[in-house]
Amino acid sequence: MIGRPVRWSEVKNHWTLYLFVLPTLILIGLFMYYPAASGVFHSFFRWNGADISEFVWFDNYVNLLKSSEFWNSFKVVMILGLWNVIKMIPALLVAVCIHRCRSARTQFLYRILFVVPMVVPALVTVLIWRSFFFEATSGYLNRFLSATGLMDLLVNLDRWFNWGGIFVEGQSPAWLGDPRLILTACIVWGFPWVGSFAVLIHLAKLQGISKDVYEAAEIDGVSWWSKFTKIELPLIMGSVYLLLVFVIIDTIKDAGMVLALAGIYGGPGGKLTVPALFMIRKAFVEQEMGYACAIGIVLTLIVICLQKVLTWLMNPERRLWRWRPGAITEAAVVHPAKVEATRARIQRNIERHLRPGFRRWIAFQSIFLRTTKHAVIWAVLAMAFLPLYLMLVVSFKTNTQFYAAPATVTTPLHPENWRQAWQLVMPTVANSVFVSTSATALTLVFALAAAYFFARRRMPLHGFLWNAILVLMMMPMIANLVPLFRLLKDMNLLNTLSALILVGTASGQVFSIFVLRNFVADIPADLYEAAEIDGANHFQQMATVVLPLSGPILGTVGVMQFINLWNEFVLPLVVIQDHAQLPVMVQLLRMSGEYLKLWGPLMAGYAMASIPIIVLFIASMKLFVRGLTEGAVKG
Amino acid sequence: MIARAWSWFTNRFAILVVIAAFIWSSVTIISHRRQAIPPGVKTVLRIGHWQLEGGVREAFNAMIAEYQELHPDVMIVQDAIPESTYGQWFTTQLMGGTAPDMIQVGLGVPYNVLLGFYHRYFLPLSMQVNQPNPYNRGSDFETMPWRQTYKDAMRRSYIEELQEYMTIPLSQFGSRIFYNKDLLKSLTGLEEPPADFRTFLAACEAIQAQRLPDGKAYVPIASSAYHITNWEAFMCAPLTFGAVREADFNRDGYVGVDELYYAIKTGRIDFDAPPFEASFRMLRTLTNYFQTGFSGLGRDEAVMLFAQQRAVFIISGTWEAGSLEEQARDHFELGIMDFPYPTKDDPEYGNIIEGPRYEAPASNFNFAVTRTSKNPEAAIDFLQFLSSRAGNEKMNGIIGWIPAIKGTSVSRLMSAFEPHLEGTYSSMPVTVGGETIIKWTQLTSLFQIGQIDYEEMVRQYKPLYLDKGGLELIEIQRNRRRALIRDEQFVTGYRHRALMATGDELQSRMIKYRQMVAGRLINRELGNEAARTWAQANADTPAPYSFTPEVLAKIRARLTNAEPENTR
Repeated sequence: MIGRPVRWSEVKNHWTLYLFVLPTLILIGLFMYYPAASGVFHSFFRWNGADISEFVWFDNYVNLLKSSEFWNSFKVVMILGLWNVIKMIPALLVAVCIHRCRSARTQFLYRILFVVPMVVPALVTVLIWRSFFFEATSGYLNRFLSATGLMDLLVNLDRWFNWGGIFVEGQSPAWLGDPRLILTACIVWGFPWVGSFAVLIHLAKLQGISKDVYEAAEIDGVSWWSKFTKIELPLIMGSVYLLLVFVIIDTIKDAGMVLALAGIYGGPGGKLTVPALFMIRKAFVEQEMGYACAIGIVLTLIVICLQKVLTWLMNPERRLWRWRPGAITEAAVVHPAKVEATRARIQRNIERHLRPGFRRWIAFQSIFLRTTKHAVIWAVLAMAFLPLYLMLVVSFKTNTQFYAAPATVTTPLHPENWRQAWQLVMPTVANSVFVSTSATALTLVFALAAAYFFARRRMPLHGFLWNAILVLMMMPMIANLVPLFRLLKDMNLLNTLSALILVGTASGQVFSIFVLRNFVADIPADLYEAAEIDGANHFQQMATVVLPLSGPILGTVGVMQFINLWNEFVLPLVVIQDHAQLPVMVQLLRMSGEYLKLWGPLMAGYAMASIPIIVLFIASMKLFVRGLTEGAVKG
Repeated sequence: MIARAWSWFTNRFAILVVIAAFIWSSVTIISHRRQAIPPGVKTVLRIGHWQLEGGVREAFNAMIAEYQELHPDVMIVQDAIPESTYGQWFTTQLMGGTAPDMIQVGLGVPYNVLLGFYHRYFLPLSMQVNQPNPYNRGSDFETMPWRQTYKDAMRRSYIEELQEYMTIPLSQFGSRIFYNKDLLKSLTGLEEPPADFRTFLAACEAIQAQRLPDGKAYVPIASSAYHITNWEAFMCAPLTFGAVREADFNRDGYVGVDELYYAIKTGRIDFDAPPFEASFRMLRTLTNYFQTGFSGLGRDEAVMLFAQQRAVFIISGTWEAGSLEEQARDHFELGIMDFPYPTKDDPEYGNIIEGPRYEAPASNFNFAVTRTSKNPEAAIDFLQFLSSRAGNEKMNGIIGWIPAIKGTSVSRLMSAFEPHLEGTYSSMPVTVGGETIIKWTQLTSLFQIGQIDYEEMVRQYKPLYLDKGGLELIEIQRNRRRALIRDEQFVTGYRHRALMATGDELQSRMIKYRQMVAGRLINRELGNEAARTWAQANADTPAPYSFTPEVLAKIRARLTNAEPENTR
């Protein structure tokens, strides 16, 4: 619970609280609000980022709104957003399957196995999919479709529904070369789409469900499907909604994966151009910086509107599609009048259970369900591990071996590929570790202090500052890329790791404060009061009360922030030019752009970029899950 | 005790891992920075380029090592950036003021944007290229101006809009078709590569009919989004030459971007002109023999297909010859063939083709010196070293490219790239600036894979071209005019020198001054006036190379009268 309000006259007793939020305000003011304001200003200019600056009123906005390419890019991003929502389902199902495992060891094993392939950086996965799966002549996707007979089905579907010859007999579809398929390719990549964050968040929520509820359901003879729809789903809907908001906003903000998959022109015919990519192209290819700023502003406004709509829809009081709680809850808890009927049903169930034939049927059903559950989990795992497997297998091959047998282990193995890759990526891995660790540490320190400010007392300007931070949650960082670039240039920070650390810290503040404030607010007020009686000032309360309790939650937020920073490559691509300063993701992108790829060292490089993040995630998973269950992500 | 220690360790394992990683990264970064600049180095130069082909980086390293022996206080670092990200890297480097001292120019930004970049970010090199290259001392080039030591006298380095030499080239490039000799023979029975378009198509048909051991068809031509632009430029574009008769307003034998725009805008010529249409028809025919999904593939992926011996032909150039030779070694015999243009008796293109593509012996691999360079003199000195006769020969010898400097030797492989000095120009420069380039790129990619036909492509492109193309032309003119102030300053300098000169110098300096005034101030305005005239031209205006009967009679009469004089 947020602390009591402080009047202006009382500020002199608590003024030190402002010091807690000051670093955050400086960071977000400088690296988020200033670029945004500069973006608004420049959006009224015909500006090339250098010497041409001509005030054009609303011309940029008018041209933008008249541009069919811009609206097409929104159509593309909406389709991607919709699919990303659908792609949330596998994570949910996997989480439920793991949660239903009776043995704690099995649960732990599955959790580890799912986390390993899924924390591989998205860029690495995209590049692997691009090279191995989508390649038209010998890619695995076409091979899979042909081997399973699905290709024939697609050919027939193409004929029946007149798709215009996307799938033709005897021809391999060009996933990245056909404008009609490139959007599908962008949807398909990453299959089976089991995001580790989503799985762990759902698992944390599922673990919060009391065993009593399941026992009651068992007694009531509830089927496995009803358990899911009537117990589990309603109780984790909060986290589902939260993920939904993030997924939709992230889709609109994202340009990186599209850039890696289809290039700066958005693939054949520009069919995969999303708004953020359109903006980058206008800014850095066509030199229309003013126009690019206008795109950024419109993008921000659209995200804000979308977020408002989603919040309105999700508000329990106004929710349009409110999930109806299950029968058990309604019968046993919500509607006491139905208790009698429920009791009778339970009695009938018990009698049914006592019949030998029924018990055998139940045993068979149980074995079948358990086998199916594990089979599903292993099938999904196999698919999830495929890119990782290919990465490792190819990393020990020469090009000749790779051309001859790309997917199987061949001898002799060539461990020297790893040595070669180490020389290529080691300095960049060091840069990434340094940037990610420093920015994460700074984020946690500043965000926890700011969270303390927002949770402890309602100081004057509290509401204003809180809203100022919340707004940033909806402002896509990419929208301010151009003014941010100018700002870093003016601050002489271009081509420095400091730029990445500072911007990373600033952009990490918003989400971290949002999560940590809830946690600090939930710390019992008695603890603060006891500390105050002992004469502790705010710094001491922070050190003795908040800090010792916030280990798990800091672990959760820290891991999330670290992974975000590690995977970031759009900003470094623009800001860092010197090879010695490159983070690993940009280096991988460069390595993948070699004309004659040395596949072995390239894949070893991909593996090296993934290993630190896998190690970190596995090492901190216990802490991470504890943080989640303690309320890091409140639904 | 042990259990407690183990518990302490496991509880803090994550944080210990992070701390250890942080310490390692800090130590690595610091040690790398220490190693980065060795003691005694006073000048650090950076050179950025996108040539990631085999041998280029090695050649630079070798030349840098040699240069550093001569100049131990100079250190040179090369930044090799992939083509896919080069444009964005190039732009942000220049805008951010962090660009390398020397940067390769010519990829990733439209020409109108590049013109602006020349103004803002690069040093003019006219003064230096008119002085001898000090690294040619002791040779017969000792007193020759630097630009005259080039095979093409640095023709492409001269930027007409700025009237300055802006770049230093290091190699000569050429394109040809590479082929797998063994596969061609086994699949088609041909000992020699096809010499004309019909034979080439027949060979492709024969190749496509054959199956690989895995049951898949052989690919006649390995291609990608990158390669198709070369097919378009070298094979198909010569068909467009006929447009010169309608759109070459200034009769320089070449259709400029502005000339074509005015010709289309005023209805003198349209996109459905037979030369344009034929060029795209040929491209579509060729794409039938490319592998599926070529437009979604990168350059390297097409090369991989060729290297795997699943394709017989691939278009490429001098820049990739060494890499392809390396890939083929011990696996198959690599051949290089000329473009199989249609012959005059070709049923489809015979009446349109007027010759092969003219290949100017122009130098390439151009480097500009940035204004933000802290050591521009040292940067120019290094470029002089690379473009000295000995230096250029050595560097290109390592890469396997053609040197740009006169009197240098060329490897056997490179002799296949001897340029066609007689031929035709491409006369369809239908993109002007940023937006028209992007739209045209997007539409042609749809055309190439058969998603839209030529009529549909034109239907979608023409309105945007007429609308945005005009604005982009204005932008180009603006960029040209931005040079006016500098031109006036420059001309004033010449005037000052002429006025201060005495004796024999006076006459020569006054002539130079007048030439500068004409070249820099008057001709440009005349050009603008000419453009205004073109803009008013219509379909009834006589074509640039057409003459009224009266004019022809006059010319004939003049020639007849002049004949005895000439004979005499």
